[in-house]
Amino acid sequence: MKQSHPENIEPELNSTSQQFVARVVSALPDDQPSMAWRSGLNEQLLIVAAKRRKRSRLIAWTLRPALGLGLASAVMVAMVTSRTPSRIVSKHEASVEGLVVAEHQQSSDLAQVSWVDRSSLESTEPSPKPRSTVNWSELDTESL
Amino acid sequence: MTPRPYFVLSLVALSVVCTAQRQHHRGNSEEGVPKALRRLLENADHQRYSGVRSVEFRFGDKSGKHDEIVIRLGKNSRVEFPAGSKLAGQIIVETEESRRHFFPDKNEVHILPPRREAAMEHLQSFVHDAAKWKFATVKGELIAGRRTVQVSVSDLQDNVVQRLWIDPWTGLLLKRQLFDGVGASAASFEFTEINLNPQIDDRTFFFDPRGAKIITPAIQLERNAKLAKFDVWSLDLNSGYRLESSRFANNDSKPLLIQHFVNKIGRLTLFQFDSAVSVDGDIVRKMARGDFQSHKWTNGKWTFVLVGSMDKSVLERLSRHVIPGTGEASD
Repeated sequence: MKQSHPENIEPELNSTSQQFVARVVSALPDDQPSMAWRSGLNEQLLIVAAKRRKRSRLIAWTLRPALGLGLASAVMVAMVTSRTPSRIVSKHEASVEGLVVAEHQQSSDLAQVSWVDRSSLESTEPSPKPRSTVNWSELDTESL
Repeated sequence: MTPRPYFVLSLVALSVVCTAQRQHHRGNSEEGVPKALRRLLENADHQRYSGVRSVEFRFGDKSGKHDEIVIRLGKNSRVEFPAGSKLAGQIIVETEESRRHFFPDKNEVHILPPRREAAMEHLQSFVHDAAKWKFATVKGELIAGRRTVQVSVSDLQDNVVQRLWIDPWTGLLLKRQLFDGVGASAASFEFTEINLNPQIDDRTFFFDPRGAKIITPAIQLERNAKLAKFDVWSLDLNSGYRLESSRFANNDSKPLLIQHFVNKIGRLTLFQFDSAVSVDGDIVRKMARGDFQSHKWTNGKWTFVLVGSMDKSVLERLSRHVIPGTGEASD
């Protein structure tokens, strides 16, 4: 594009064509800007904002307590489980309870069917070593 | 009619219905118990017979069996064992007061509480707590040549607990079978011979082996405690229970002393460990299907566990009667 010097602009602006364009532009109607659309937009924004506030309030009244309750429960569970650790019954512990139950039950059963009791049966074959309740030796059963 | 007579009539009708209902329930608890079982209990202390019975029982995965030659007159019994039996030569004479068990190999007489009541204890509980049990009666097979009625006793979940073969004419219990929690036979006896009209000598229940050493349960307890190197602790006589027997055993190489106690209404077992032992009472109760409970406590290095068919609070109270010594001096 050809670059013009500033001293050459004045004659050009005074040209007929330029004068015509200036008249046309001046003759254009001067529109007053309307704010109705802006008002409508504001109303729409108010409606949307109200809905959002309602939803937020709903969340505040339902989800937050539920969340809090859940969190509290989780903390509670963590505290309880840390205080009383889940009971893992070891083989030894189970055997003690099994021994206690078996011994009492068997002595009760034997008393209902015989005049002979277990210690008397054992004393027929005295042993220098303590015998196991759980693992009876063949000697024990033979003595019966 | 005014409302007032209606109200009075309603009250009267309600009271009549309530009374009838109560009598109906009472009647049911009595009617629920089979006639043969009631006869057995009524005649239990008046039986006269001699016979041979075969006894079988199971301790864990081991089982035992022996024959007993029995002479019975009322509350007195004499039991011997046939030649060839490991128990041959032993004699047990039971009277109302005691059971005396003679061991010829050691020349000892062990003085023990009578066993007769223990044998009847469960049967009586079936009658007293009839609402807790279900009874079924069918024709039983011939036992020792006699006709029987078979009575099955089940818990409310239909698990058979015991089967009894009863002579319906005499009320004699000719066969008894006990079952464990999964329905397997735990213990039983069965008469193979029976004589309901035996000649019983006056001296049948006389018992005086000269020179034999008398061993009471307390002496036996001291022996066992010494062997196990345990301090002697036991229930005092004020507890209402008598020491029946004791023995010591090993559990996972941990020694423990076991004592069995009896009275007219039940049994107790006391376990004594020489170290801290964890025993969960809930597990014990569940394993025992609620039939008995346990109470654990410690005293110094000793851990004690008391087991019985009573409430935990009763066991706790009884635990206060466990004192140092054999408990015999507290009477």
